[in-house]
Amino acid sequence: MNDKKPASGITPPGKSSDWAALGADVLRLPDRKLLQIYRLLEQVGDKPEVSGAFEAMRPRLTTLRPPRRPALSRLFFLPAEDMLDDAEHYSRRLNRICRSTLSPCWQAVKDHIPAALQQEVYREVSHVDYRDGAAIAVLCEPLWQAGVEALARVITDCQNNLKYKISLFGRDDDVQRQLDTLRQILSVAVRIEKLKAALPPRPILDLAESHVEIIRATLIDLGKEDAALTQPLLLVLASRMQRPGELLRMLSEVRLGGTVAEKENLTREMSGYVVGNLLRQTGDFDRENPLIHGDPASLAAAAERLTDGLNSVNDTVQGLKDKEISAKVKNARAEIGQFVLKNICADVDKGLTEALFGHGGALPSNEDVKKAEQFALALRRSSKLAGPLGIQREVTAKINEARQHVISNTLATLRDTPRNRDGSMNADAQRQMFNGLRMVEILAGSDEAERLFREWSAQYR
Amino acid sequence: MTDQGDSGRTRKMMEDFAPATFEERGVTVPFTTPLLSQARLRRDQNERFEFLLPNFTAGKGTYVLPWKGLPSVMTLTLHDRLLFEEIEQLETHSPEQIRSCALSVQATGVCGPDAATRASELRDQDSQYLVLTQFILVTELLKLVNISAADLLRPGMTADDSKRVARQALAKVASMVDIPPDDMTMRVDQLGEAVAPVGLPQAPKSGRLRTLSDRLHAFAQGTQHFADTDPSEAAMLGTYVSTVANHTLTLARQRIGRLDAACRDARQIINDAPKLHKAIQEYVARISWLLDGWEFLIAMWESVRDEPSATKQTTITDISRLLPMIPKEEISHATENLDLDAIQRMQKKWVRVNQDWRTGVLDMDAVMRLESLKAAMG
Repeated sequence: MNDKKPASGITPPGKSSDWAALGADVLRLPDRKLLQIYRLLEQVGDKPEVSGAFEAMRPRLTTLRPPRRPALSRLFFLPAEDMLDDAEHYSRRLNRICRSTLSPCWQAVKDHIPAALQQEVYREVSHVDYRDGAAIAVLCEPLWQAGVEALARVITDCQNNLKYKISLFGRDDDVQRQLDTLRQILSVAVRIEKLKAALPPRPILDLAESHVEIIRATLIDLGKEDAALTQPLLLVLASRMQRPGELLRMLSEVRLGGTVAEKENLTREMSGYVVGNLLRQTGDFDRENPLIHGDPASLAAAAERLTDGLNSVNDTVQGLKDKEISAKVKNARAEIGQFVLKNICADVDKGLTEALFGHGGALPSNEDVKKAEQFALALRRSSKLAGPLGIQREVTAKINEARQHVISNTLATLRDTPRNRDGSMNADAQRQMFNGLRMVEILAGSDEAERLFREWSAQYR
Repeated sequence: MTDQGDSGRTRKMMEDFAPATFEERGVTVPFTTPLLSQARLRRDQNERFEFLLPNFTAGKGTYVLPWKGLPSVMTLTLHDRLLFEEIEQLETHSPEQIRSCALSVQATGVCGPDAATRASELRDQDSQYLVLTQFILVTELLKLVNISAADLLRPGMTADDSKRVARQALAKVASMVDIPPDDMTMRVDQLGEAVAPVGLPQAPKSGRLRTLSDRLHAFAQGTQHFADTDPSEAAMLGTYVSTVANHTLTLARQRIGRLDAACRDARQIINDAPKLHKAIQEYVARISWLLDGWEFLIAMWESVRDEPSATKQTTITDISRLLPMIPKEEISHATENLDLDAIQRMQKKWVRVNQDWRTGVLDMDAVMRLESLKAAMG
């Protein structure tokens, strides 16, 4: 399509109200057409008047979730996105970066990056799929390279000019450490982004042989260049893994170049980071944190991730021979255990029963059955964690309770639902029987579900 | 067939891996136990059921196990236990019969509400399509006595009027070969049932297997595009998958073409219905066997359409291990040159084993992923 011509059917509006009206008109179109127009509007760029059109389209876009065209600042910080924490969850001395640092940081560095380069990168990126990590890595390389130098200048300016520093970041000296972490990450940004594109999405659960090979090759290449360059890459990678302990194990097996002392130092620092980062995330479980008020299955999945992570660093923690860290890890497990009991197990049986049977004798909708499944899955996940967290007795008791509720309610439904003329179970009763069996299968396993199926089928055939 | 590669080692070619016949390849059963996913069912020399398990060894070959041995090796979902009971009741085990069995078990809700709803929709679509196919056959017959579909739907005619005219016209057709009108209706019913899975070419909507062959075409293009653009070694697996898909597609389209040609002349229905019925059954069965197993793979690939390339790489590996191999009797030159030895090495390298079968505990997340694919299948 010729860029100079307007898209067919769209007359370019002038005022921002016209753009908003256009956005509202577009809502009447089918999904495919709406997305085409969304992409065309994106090419108009970051103009304030166009935001009205996006605002009007937002409810549909929330459902369709088209890939977003990232702002240049977002592209700049992309390699460090796994290291970012919100202000209320940010922990110092962990090589993490606080999100509130990003805005003033961008204000400062963009003045040191040539405007032509910024425009060029932004234009190039608009021609590729934003989800294509490898392509983004290649196109943004000049931006990140310029960013390393720009950040070094900002750090120096902050050191030499207190007023400048305070006006941008306030008085906290920790910001300079954050800027330095960011600078280190940007210095290996292309390798980080290429690696991210080649590995499974976060949280990385399992690595294939090919993935291990890619990580090893990248570490060895970087190590040959300068062993210190491996650290920022490892920090990002460890933050993306569900079992970061596996990365530490891999690190101990790879020859990175540099001296033995350097390697030992790197391993110690990475172990400290991995354990510290897991403890930080566990700490969030204990606070009033709006992020963790999700459905029980998501909460259980989060608890599972952390427990899995803690289990993966067992060897590392023992190797550190640090009584304080060992005690912290032990406490972290206890905290997760309490969290699971308090937030996941407490009322899950009631939620499950309500979703499946709380409809005045009518069949639950598909959505209700899925909700009940989520409750049952949360309990099942909790039972997997119960051993390492020392809450086996409580979780087993809760599963039994939930199972009993499902069985007694299903039996009541089978008893109360009228039979077919030939005495067989009617379609609704049969469906409710299978709904109940499904929950029992999730909670107590397929053998128990099959036993009940035979029993109920014989009794209510 | 083997040949010597540059290095002197023996290269495994397509024929080394291919089963001799479709029966030897086995029919795909849509189990939800992750290790049984896309297992193929066949009978052994003693006519007992055995399963070929492509997922069991994570890319190191295909295990063959008798059904009785399975529960001692892995925990099976309730869905799979009930499905197998249904399968045991069948006298023959064609892809169409297995599909019908699977849909009836799926419709109970034993593998989740979405899969149940989808099964009910598909069964409804099948019966509606059967009615449509039979209607088209009737209109083709009526043309022989100069009655068109429009004659049945003239302004002012009631539904009963239309039925009466159609009955009279069919009686006229039946009288041409001196058979009772009811026999003619029965012929139409039987032919309709036989051809409905593929559908007639003149139908306003394609039949299920004809649609599947179109989706296979899009799948072959999609996986080839992946092979052309992916920078990793998994691109090689994309080429392999696309080649086998294209080969299958060519064969399926040939059969569909022959079926369409066989159905073209409505006079055969009155002159030699048994011969036509047999020919249609054979063509449809062949098409069904050729496309058996592909629907699940297409759903797998479509489910990662918007995912990052790493997810696509893993998925193409999984798909490559589950590919329905074309039997030797059907193999053509199109796939002869694939170095399957290299492909196997690549598969092992890219596989991620995330089910620990040794614990005997079902991975419910993996089970539910399979169930969601069932809910997405056409």
